[in-house]
Amino acid sequence: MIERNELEQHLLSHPFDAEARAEYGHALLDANEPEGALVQFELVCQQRVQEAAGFLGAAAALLKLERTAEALTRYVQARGLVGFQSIEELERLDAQARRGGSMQLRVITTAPANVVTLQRTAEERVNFATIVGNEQLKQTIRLKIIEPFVNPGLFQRFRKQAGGGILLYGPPGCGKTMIARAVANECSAEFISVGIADVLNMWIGESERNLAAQFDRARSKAPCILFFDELDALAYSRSKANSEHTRTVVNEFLAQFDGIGKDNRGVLILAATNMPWDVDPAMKRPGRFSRQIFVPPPDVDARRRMFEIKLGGVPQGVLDVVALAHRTVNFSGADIDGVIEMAKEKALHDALLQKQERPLEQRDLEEAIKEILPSTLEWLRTARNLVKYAGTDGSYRDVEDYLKKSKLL
Amino acid sequence: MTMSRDELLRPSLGDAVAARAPYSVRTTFLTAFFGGPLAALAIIVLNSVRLRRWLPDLPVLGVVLAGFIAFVLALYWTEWGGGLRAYLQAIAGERALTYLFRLIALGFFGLGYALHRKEQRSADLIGMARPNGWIGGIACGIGGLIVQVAFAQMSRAGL
Amino acid sequence: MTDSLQQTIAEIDALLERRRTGQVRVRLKGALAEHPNDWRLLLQAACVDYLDRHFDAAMATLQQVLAQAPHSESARALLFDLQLEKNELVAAEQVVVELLRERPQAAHYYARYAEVMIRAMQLQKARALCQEGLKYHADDPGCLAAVSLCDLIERPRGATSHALQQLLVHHPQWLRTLVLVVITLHDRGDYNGASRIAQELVRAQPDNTDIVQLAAELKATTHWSLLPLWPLRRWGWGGSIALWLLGIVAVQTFAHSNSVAAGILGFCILGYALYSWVWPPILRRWVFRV
Repeated sequence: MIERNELEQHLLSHPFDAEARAEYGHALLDANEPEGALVQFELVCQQRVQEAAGFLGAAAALLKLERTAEALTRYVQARGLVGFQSIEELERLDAQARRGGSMQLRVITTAPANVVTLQRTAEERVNFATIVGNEQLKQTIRLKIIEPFVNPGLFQRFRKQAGGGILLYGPPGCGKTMIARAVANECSAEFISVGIADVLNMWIGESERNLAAQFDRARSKAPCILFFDELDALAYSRSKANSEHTRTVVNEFLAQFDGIGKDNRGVLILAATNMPWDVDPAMKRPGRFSRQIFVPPPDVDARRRMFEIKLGGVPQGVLDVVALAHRTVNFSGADIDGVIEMAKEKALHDALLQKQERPLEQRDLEEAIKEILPSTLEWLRTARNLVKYAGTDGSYRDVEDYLKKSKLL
Repeated sequence: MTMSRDELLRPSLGDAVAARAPYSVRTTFLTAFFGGPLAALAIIVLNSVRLRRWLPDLPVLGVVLAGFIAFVLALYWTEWGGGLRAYLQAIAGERALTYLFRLIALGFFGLGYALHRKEQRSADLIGMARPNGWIGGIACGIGGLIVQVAFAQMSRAGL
Repeated sequence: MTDSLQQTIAEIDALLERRRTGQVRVRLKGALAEHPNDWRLLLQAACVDYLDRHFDAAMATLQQVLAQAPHSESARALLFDLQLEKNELVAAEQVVVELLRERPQAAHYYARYAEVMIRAMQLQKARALCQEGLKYHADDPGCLAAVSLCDLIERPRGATSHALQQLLVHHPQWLRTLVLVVITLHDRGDYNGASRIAQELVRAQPDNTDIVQLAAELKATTHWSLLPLWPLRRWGWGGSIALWLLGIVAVQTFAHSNSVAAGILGFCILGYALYSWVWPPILRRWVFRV
């Protein structure tokens, strides 16, 4: 057994040695320092996602800290992983939870929750047909999200269950929220959309209760799609958070996702974010938002259709929308709106000056394109940093392909 | 070092002018390598002034400067010095004295490094903006060169 | 203060913590339209300017806050942060001393004061402040980080820092901990290890230019074309001087017996010296741009 001091020295030089870290966690547990031990085991969980050692250690540490519900969450996650060994006390608690007993294990307290009215989807019927372009993305989404949900039998035969979590990420204004709504309509499922304002509350404990209530509502309406917009705000990385409140909201989110004592089957959890790097890493582990789909800026077909649709009804001369589409690489839908609005302003300005109305012309739009910088560029530059300097774990491969195609990498 | 709470909470910056970032180690090295011993000493003095520690450094630098002057005088105006020059030239050729003075300059660089190691490291880690090394280095180099040339002229004139 | 204003302030605080400055500005615009002189909202406006690095605007707004609420601890803490950013160390020291007199057991204020002392190069006092802070909160991350920084400055390169070890135990994922580990590994010559941790940092904060630059530099440092520079990296300036001496001795030795070989050797040494000066900055620029 290596001395604790030696382990500390070793970890300073070899911070990625998960085995040494797990051993160090056990040393801290033996020395009755469960808080320190928990921190170490959480790291091991991240480093060795497919192995039970970290999860079991974290469960043991949480048990010592009398955070029983969280301990049980970790223990259940450890099952099915390599190296799982049963812990008697946690087996007993797990059995108890499955029978639905023990108030101590319930994540939600019995105090009445101050449930904020949930926002339903817009009445407008959005489906894939109304989303222009991005055919490859739609195909990916159909295969990974819609079909497993609509045909669970087919996927069950291959041992893939409906439900789970999918994270849509990408630059702002590129239609992630619209895609989520279209998915709901394609799946013919109940759609519950949750934003940050629906959850966060200044009173202690209320945010967690609100979040738990959303999940309960979704479970009661299964099959249901539970959509979290701006996931980075709700599940903000705990290593960056200053307040304990933010961390407890994330812990609650994780517990609800794992559905201890609850059944999340038939609930598809979708989320969208502009900043996937701000989402707590635990949210992206297997069983949670392990499937991440990059939603790029609209492609040339999508941009062409956007120009056609948005210019409909506007007095115009002969316009070459194909050329406009080719000149607006990386423009989001909002940027194209901006181009058109600016072009209209120019035409109106001229009309007022010359006291004669004239239609919108190609040059108006081309000048507007010159003046507007795509709002997606900043996001793409940040994503480029990730691809270039953050190592090759493959999690942003889609982004890398897009950047290479757009000659930004 | 233990300090009482009162000492800890007594402001220590007050009206004193704060230390400024010194010339970088690279600038000091290049100035010493190309400028010679006097240029090296000059830039070390400049750093001491910038770091507001020229008083504590003065005795050390004073002794080193005095030692260097004494060595140069001995090298050119004593028999021992003449012998040493001849010996070095026999080993290393015509450029022997150039190498010798460069070695002395690098020794002074080492002294400067030892004196200001913590401050240099601190400036690097905190990310303090360094002064322009070209200006300081060239100024010290020119200054050192002028003194060297003047001394060489005096030496030739037999003064 | 009404309930709805309190709720708005709490929501803006949550958004500020998540650095969603765009949304904060939108919320603040509405809130300030209703309550234009509420100092809490003005303080939040100063915070968002601080986060967006508009320090002058933040300071101007903060002066309004302090005029209304001169004893607000949060306002004075922000004032300290702004003064530190602008390198106004004397003023920053006065503010933090005042805060410590009111909250003598606040370990994080000892840590901030220590930061000022480190910038002023008064390392002894910085350490003493951290020791005092750690008495009240044994694993305060700010104090541990300040002590680690003092260790990095004062001790030989690569030496073990107990404070850094404590940070690795209690705050292993804190970004400052990781930066300190990167520096320590770099000092020990473990550039690959440092580079791996820098990658973790970029994964967490890809929009932070300092972190991206650090990762790019380490990526350049571990490039195969810099392998021949190992002796210079291992022994630093001493290695450069030794190389120069070795060159003179070698050339002089060969000069007597084989002047051609001496000439070739001299060119090789000169070439190596040029390569060691010229290539690394070019490579760094190339890695950062490509």
